[in-house]
Amino acid sequence: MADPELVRPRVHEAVSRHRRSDRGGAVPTLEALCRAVCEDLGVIAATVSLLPGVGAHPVCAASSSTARKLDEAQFSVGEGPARAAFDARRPVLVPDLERTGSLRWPGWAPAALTEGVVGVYSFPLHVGATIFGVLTLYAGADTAPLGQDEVLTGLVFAEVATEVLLDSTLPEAAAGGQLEPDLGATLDTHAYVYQAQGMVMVELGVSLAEALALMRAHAWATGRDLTSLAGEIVAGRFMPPRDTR
Amino acid sequence: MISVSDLSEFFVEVADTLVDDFDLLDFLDNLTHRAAVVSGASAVGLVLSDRPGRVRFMAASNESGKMLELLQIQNEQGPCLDCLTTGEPVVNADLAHASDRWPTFAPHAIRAGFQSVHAFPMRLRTQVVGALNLFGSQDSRFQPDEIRVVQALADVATIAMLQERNLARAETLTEQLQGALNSRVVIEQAKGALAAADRITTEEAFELMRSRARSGRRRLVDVAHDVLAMLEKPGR
Repeated sequence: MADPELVRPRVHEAVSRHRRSDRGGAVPTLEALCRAVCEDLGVIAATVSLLPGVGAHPVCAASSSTARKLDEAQFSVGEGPARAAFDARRPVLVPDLERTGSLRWPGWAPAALTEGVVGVYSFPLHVGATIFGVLTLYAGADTAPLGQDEVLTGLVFAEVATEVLLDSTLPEAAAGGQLEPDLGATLDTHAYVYQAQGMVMVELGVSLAEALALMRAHAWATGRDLTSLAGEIVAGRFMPPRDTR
Repeated sequence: MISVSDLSEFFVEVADTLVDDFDLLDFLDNLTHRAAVVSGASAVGLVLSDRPGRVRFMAASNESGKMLELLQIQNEQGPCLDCLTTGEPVVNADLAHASDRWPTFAPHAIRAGFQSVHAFPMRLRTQVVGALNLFGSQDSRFQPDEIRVVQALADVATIAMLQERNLARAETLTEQLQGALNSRVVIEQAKGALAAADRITTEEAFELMRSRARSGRRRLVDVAHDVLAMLEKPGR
């Protein structure tokens, strides 16, 4: 069984290896992530689509032009796995698109099947109430079916993509494209981090996403552990500065 | 020790809940409260494992229950984790004699005023998906027939998770768990936001949201979403 703690460094390494540009910002990192996940899981395509209304363009990164087309088609016909994952706020995993997907998305599935897509796996990019978009993996005829291990790896890729989008809500953090500190393993057992996020949102009058990005940036800049920082915030002993510079 | 009248009430309520607008998180939250009443335990907590080696807190009857679960998760030891690893229940464990077994967890739990602990696995076919923990402030011991009753409560929690699942597809468990876990995060975010806005504790904030959800017959996560929407960027 895959250990998520071992998957994470592999994901980070693959994302930096697939980076083709030194440009800052979230998009080049997410494009690298799409290429990296294709290589790692053997899927034929991967996309990161942001929510309609969040960005001017719904699809922000794609591993290929076909993938981009398939993703955009979901938004024009108003149905598909990415849409469903966003609406339900949970992963939508459909290994057999022809059998299961055709009934579920009659307007979208035929186009995907024509492009050689056999299965689709969509993971929401979210932290609680904040949702940025969806990571969708497209499996082809030669892709080995994604079992539990592979789905868990997909979840780690989604966590990393979420961190990239979260940090890009702060203009200064976006330039560095830093991927630390991890949101995944450390955070999920620590309810304090999320409570602190809600408190920072109210106290500083920022958005929920900005609140967590500020906490991460402050932890990173001061070399502190995010969980202990959150503990101080919840105890009322500390509030991060609004300006992280 | 098990109250039969409370138990029947519990099952009536469960049957009532397993209907269309069923919400897993609300269900588990309610189950921990009910389990505390039925068993006479001072605190009850429930954890789920969403991936191998990763345990996540889901619900507790009170803050002590939550603290005891988080203590186990953070220190990677305790009855709950033993139960998840072995798939076997841990019953009638006396904390005073458990410092060899759980060197960090046992002394902490004793300092918090607890004496006994029990953990029951949530089994789904061959997989152990979670565990139900009961903590007693006295050295309470369950009789064999009582153990079967408490295991039945854990089994009910597992059945609830099957509620909206299609058994033919193993992936849906991941889908459902991830959904419930994110709801948990939404609730924590809203607790923090409401506590800061109303100058109350996070526990008070949680109770406020719970009573709003009850009186409005709404899902806790929906109330939490509303709280966040209302408090995010006020005045804009």
